Amino acid sequence: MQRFVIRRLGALAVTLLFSSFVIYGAMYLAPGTPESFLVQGRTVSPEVLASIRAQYGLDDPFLLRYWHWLTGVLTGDLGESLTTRQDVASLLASRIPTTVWLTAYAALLIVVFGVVAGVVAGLRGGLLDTAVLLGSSVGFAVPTFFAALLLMSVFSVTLGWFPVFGAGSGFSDRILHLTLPAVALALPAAAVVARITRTAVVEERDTEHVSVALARGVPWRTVARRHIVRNAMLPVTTIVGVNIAALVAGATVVEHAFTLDGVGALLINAVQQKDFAVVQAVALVLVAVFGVVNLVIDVLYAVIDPRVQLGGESA
Amino acid sequence: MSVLELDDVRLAVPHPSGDRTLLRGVSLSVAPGEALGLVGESGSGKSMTLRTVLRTEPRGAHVAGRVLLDGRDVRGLGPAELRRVRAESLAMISQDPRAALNPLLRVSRFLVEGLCDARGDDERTATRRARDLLAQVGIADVDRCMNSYPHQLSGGMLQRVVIAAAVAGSPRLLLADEPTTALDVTTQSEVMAILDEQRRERGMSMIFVTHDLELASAVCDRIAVMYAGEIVEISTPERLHAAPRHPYTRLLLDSRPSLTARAPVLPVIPGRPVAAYEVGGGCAFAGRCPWSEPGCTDGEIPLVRDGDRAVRCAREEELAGELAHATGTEATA
Repeated sequence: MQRFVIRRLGALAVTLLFSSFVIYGAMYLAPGTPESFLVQGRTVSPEVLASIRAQYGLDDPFLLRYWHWLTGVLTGDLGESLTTRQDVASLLASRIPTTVWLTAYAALLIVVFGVVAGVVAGLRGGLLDTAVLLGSSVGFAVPTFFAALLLMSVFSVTLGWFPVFGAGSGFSDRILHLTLPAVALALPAAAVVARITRTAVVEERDTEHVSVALARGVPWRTVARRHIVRNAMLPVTTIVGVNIAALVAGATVVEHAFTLDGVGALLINAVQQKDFAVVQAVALVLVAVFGVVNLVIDVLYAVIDPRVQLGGESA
Repeated sequence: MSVLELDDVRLAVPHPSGDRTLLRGVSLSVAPGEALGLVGESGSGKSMTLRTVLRTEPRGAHVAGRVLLDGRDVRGLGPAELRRVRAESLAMISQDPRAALNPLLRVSRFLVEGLCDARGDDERTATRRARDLLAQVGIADVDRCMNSYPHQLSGGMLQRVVIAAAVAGSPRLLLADEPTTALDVTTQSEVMAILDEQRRERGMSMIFVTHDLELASAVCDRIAVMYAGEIVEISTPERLHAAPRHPYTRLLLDSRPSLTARAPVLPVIPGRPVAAYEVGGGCAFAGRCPWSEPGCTDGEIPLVRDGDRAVRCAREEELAGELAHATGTEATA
C-alpha cells in the first residue's frame, strides 16, 4: 500500500511537470501579449515597451523563461500577478478556502443524493426508479449556468431563502451562502452518479452470488447491504471520483455566476487579462487536485475490492 | 413420509412469442436419506426442477403444481416462512462455486453468514462451527482458508467450502446442481466423495442433477431420467442399466463410451434434443425414437408406476424385453 502511494505520487509529479510545460507553452500560443495588456491601449514609446519587456523578462528565450518559472514554483514562488502586483501564492491562498468549501459541499451533495437515489432506485424499482431516472435526465440536461440562474431567481429573489452572492464567513453563514452554488455545481454530476449507481445496483442484484445468498435464507436487508450495495460501489467509486475531480474545474462557472471570490473566478479574470503567472498557478493547482483525487479513488478501490493488488507483485 | 414430493409441477416463462413451457408436469418423491439422481440432456428441465423447490425460478415464471417439503407446500409459503425453510431445511450446491461466493468477501463471512444471518446463531458459535466443517470437508489449512478471498482459492477448494456451507445447518434436503462439472477430473471425484460422505453422515436426502449417468449411478439410490421437461423413467441404477424401460434411457446408455469395448464410432441418438415448449401431442421422444409407432403421437402418455420404478412410454409393455437386450442401433439397422 505504502509503496503504491509513493509510486503514484511520483507519477503525479511527472504528470505535473509535463502539464506545467503544456500550461506554460499554451499561454504563449494564445493571441495577445502581456505587455499590450499592461499598457492598456495607451500609445507608449517603443522604449517604454522595451523596458516593460525587460522587466518581466519577456525577451528571454521560451525555455529559459520556463526554467525560471519552474524553479520558482519548486521553491514556492509562484511569481507576481501582472495586474495586481500581488504575490500569486498569497493571492491563491486567499481564494482557495471558498473553492474548497464550495467543491466539498458539492461533493457531499453528489455522494449523498447521487448515490442514495441510485441505490434506492436500483433496489426498489417501480415508480421510485422511474422518478430517479427522469430526475437524473433533467439534472444532467440543464446547463450549470442556467441552473445557477434558475436557483437564484427562485430561492434567492422570489423566496428570499438564500443570499444572492458572496461566500459568507463562519461555518453556518458559509453553508447558507454556498448552498445554491453547491446545488448548481453538483446537479449534473449527481445525476450521472445516480444513474450509474442505479445500473450497478440492478446488475449486482441479478448476480448468482446474490441469488445464492437469498436461497440460503439470508435476509433481504443483509443481502442488499452486504452483497448488492457493497459490490455496486466499485463502479460508483470510479464515477464519483472523476466527477469530484472535475468539480474544481466546473466551479469556475458557478463562482462566476454567484460572484464568489474563489479560484475559478480568479482563473477567469486572469485569462481575460492575460495574467500569465496567475493562470499558470491555477492550472497547475487544478491538475494537482485531479491527480490527488484520482489517487485517493485508486486507494479506495483497493480497500473495497480485495482482488485489486496495489503495488503489483508483493502487495 | 417423503422428505420431498413434487406433484405435477409445471413451469412456463414469459417470452415475446407467448409463454414457453419448461416443465410439463414433473412428479417425483424423495425418501428420507435417499439420493435421487436427475439426469438428462441440457435443457431437459433438471435445474429448473430444483429451482421450483427452492423457489428461485426466473422472475415472471408461472409455476403450477405442488412442491411438498415434509408435507408442507413450499409454493404457498410467505416470505418469512420461505426464508426459514431456505435457511433450515434446504441447501443448494451449484455448478460454479466461483459465482456462488461474493468475490469481495472472505470465505469466513460466507460460511458464518449462512448460520448467523440466515439461522440466527451467534457469531462465535457459527465461526467455530464453520472451522469444524472446513476441517471435515478435507481442508488442511483452515485458518488460511477462512481468511481467503474466493479468488485466492482453487475451484475444488471453493466447492468444498460450498459443500461445508450447504451441510452446515444439517438441512433435510440437499439440492446439488452438477456440483462437479466446473472442476477438473481429479478434483471431481474427491469433491464427489466428500459430498457423499457428508450427506450420508447426516442422513440428508439429496437431489443430484447431472448429465453423467455413470456418476449418478454411483452416488444415487434412484435415478430419474428427464426429457423435454418431464420425467420419462425412474428406476434404481442397477435396474436402469440392466433393463431400461424407456427407449430414451436405452439410447442414453448406448451412447456412453464403454471402458472395455472399443467402438469405432460412438452411437449417438438420432435427431436433436427437443425443448419442452416444442412438444406437441403424445410422446416427446417419438420423433427420435427408433421404436415409435403412429400411435405414439396421440394423446398424453402417463408415467406408469410399477413398484419403485416408473416409465412413460406408450409401448412400454411390448418393448420391455427388447429394450433390455437389444440396443437402439441394432433396432434401427
